Amino acid sequence: MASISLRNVTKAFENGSLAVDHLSLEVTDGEFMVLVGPSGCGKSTSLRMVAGLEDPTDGEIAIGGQVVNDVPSRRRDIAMVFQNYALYPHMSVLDNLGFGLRMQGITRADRERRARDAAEVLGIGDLLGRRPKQLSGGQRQRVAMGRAIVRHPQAFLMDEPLSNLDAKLRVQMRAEIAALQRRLGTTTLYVTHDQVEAMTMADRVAVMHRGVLQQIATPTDLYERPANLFVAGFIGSPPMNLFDGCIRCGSDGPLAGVGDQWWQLPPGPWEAMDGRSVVVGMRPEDLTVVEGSTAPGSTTVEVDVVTAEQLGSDLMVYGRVAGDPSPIGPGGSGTPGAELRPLEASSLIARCPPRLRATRGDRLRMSVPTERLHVFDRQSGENLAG
Amino acid sequence: MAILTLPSWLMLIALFAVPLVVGVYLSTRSDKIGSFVPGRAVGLDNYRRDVFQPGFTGALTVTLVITAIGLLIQFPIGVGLALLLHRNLRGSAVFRTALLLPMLLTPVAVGLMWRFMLDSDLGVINWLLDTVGLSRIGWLGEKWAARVAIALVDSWQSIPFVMLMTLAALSSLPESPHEAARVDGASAWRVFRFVTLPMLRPVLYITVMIRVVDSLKLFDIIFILTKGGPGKATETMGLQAYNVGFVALQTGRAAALGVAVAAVTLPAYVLWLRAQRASQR
Amino acid sequence: MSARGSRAGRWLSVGLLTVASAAALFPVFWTISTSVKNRVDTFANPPKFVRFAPTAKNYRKLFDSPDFWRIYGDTISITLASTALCVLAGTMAAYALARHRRFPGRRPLEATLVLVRAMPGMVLMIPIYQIVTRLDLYDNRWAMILIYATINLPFAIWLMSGFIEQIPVEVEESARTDGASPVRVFWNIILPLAAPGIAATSIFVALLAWNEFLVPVLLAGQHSKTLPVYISGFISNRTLDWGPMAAASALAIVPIAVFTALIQRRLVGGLSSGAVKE
Ligand SMILES: Nc1ncnc2c1ncn2[C@@H]1O[C@H](COP(=O)(O)OP(=O)(O)OP(=O)(O)O)[C@@H](O)[C@H]1O
Ligand SMILES: [Mg+2]
Repeated sequence: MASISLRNVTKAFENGSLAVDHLSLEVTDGEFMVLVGPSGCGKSTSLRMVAGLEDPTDGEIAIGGQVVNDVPSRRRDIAMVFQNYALYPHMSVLDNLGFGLRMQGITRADRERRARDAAEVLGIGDLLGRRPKQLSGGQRQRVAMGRAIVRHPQAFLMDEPLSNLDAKLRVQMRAEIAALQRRLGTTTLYVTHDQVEAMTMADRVAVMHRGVLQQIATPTDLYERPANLFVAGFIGSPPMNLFDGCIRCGSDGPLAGVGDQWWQLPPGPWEAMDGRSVVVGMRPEDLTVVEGSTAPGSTTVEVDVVTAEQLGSDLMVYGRVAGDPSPIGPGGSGTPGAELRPLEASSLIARCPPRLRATRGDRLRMSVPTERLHVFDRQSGENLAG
Repeated sequence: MAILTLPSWLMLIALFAVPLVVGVYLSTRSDKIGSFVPGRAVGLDNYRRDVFQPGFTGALTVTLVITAIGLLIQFPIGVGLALLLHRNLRGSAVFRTALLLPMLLTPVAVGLMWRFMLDSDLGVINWLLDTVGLSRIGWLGEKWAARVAIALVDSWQSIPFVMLMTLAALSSLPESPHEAARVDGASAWRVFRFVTLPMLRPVLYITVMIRVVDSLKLFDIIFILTKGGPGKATETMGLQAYNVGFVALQTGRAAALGVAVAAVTLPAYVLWLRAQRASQR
Repeated sequence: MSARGSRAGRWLSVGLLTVASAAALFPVFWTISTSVKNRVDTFANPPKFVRFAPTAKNYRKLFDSPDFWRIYGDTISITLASTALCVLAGTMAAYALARHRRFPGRRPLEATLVLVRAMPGMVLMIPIYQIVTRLDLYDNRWAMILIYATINLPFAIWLMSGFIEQIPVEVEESARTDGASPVRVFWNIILPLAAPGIAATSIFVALLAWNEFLVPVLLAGQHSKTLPVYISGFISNRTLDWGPMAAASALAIVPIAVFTALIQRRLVGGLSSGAVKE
């Protein structure tokens, strides 16, 4: 096993597009690292550079401490699982599994034994004689996984290996791959644009945006302490509620003003930021409806309900912060026809208990623990709580 | 990766680049086949004598005329047949096989058979014209008839190619614009004229180019049918070079004609290369 | 377009296709029928389409001449050897062109291929004739094989790159990460996956070689003459001997006709793959 490190890796394609911009990343030995980000942010390109399928324009890539920039793909001792599986169409499953071993010069008998073992682990032991064409999508996926594990490589590289599966199978394979990786302890770099995959599978998650690394953290940290606005908006579903506001430090402690409301901020370096334009964020899960006064350590948010969606397990309340003048899209609540576009007209989502009653026009008192408020600089997007 | 092109390069250099250079060299000499007098350098004499002369421009005209007649025959019929086959009527596969065949046959054999069929006294074509009440034609013996005959035989062999390219293009076209146009009330002809044809244009362009280039190259069929006759009525550039080089045995002069042929066909290569590069984008 | 339109329209279509097919097939039929007619029937007026007594005389005449068999055999061997060479070199070059956007010599190669494909044969054959005779290679099969392979190379490369582009690039990358060297990737992955394309390309190239006339008519003497040259030889006689000539023509084209009927589907697929690549 081995660690993977990228140091200031940059990739500019010939057509001028800067796919990866000074990426530094360390996947420690045995770690499951997920690289996540929106489409086109350079995830695949980063992975392919580690695999040796793409040459970095600049920077250094090391596997197991050894710089591999000039080592061809076949000598890097890594296994890659592709989005479309890339099985060898002209070979049986057994030969697909054994191809990498054959390239290492391992005898036929050994190859078969190891291929059978791997197939057993993945539950495809009875498919060994088939061609890829004769397999279902899920079976192909398993063969692709088998092809990777059979070689006992230094690292697994996976590029959206689950995206061609249906939703149910995806959930199942997600758990299986994660469990398998933990059992084998093989260093893994896994690319996906699905944040649920990232959160559920990873030891640590690296978030990328437009070729630039935004944050590396454990799933919990990423969720609770997003480093910037991009991560805050990207991780979490429904996404974090974000409001333009400003900071004021007065006699009643640090406050953030949004609309005509003032929210208490958690202890922090606010004194120095008096008057600063910020973006205040809170997760839909952190809002709770309260009657009467709020508990200490929490702050009150007044919400005008625009609409509500009953999910059975939760009631999703869509609304606006009372007195928040900021227009939301072209269908702000003041414009004609707004009642037909309630989601556009709302600026806040709250996940509430299913038995709550909320209809259009209601004003709800909600409370948020102050340490659950996120404050970002409006210019740079940095998380100001540090 | 460049190493993979090495065998191709070796072949192309030995049998294309070297001959091209030798050809230019020969075109400035007086060599003759089978002559005991060694050839000598004659500068541009060969060009003066053969290329900038009515003989060569005549051959160029003949080549272009036969090419033009051929295109006028091939494209309407080839595209028409493709449209018919594309309707996927019962028996299409059988028709397609039959219609494909001429393209694959040995041109020399094809030329001979047509020569027999076009014979003015005994040929089955003139018999047919007679039977339906038209007058007989002296196919290979009259200037224009011979040109048309050559274009016809060439077209008979190349219509399948036009048809196949069009058919492939048709089957890769999206359905919805046709359906939309039909829903909008366009007649079949208008759907073809304003929807299908514009979408076929890129493929047709490439097909026309290939056909033009191949017509300019046409040799075996003319060689078998008329050898350039009657007189010089069907003597294309290729035949002229052949007659000078291998009948009159004047290598130097033929080489000059060859260089001239290469030069006048230059626009075709440029267009082709441009189209190819464009399609790679 | 689906099979729509009026009944009359359908009948008209079938009628037109029938007439066109008849026109496409008639010369073939006429060649074969002439090849089994005696002299009198050949020149009968009105022509005899079916009512005549077939004779094998014309074929016997051909088969009795040792020349014919030698020429038939030579044509086959020259065709096969030049096809093998052309497709081998062509597949290698096509792989480079299809898979690597940039490599030294790519643009010159593309340009040269277009030139070779488009240049009238006579332009090259005049100097080639001189070179070949100087090198004492006149009437030499190997010289002809090389020339055939070269002039068909652009076509082979064009077709093969179409086929290679259809192979998913990830399969190749997967083999690379699996530890396969470039030679291994080509041999164990590309070649097997391109096999149907190689077969189709070989068929087309073989056809072109089988039908080639200009090269052998200029460069072949007694020892390397091919069938098209042999057939064309009949017209230089004063008395046009249509019977045996038709028989020889039939022997050149009948294998092609049978072959076409057998592999018709693959042929169309093969050519189209190049056509719709654009
Ligand atoms: N071969 C290439 N040539 C030029 N630009 C490329 C190439 N491959 C990728 N790019 C560009 O680089 C950027 C990053 O691409 P990449 O494939 O790494 O994105 P990704 O994060 O994997 O996206 P997705 O989730 O859609 O797979 C994109 O803007 C893309 O257009
Ligand atoms: Mg990707």
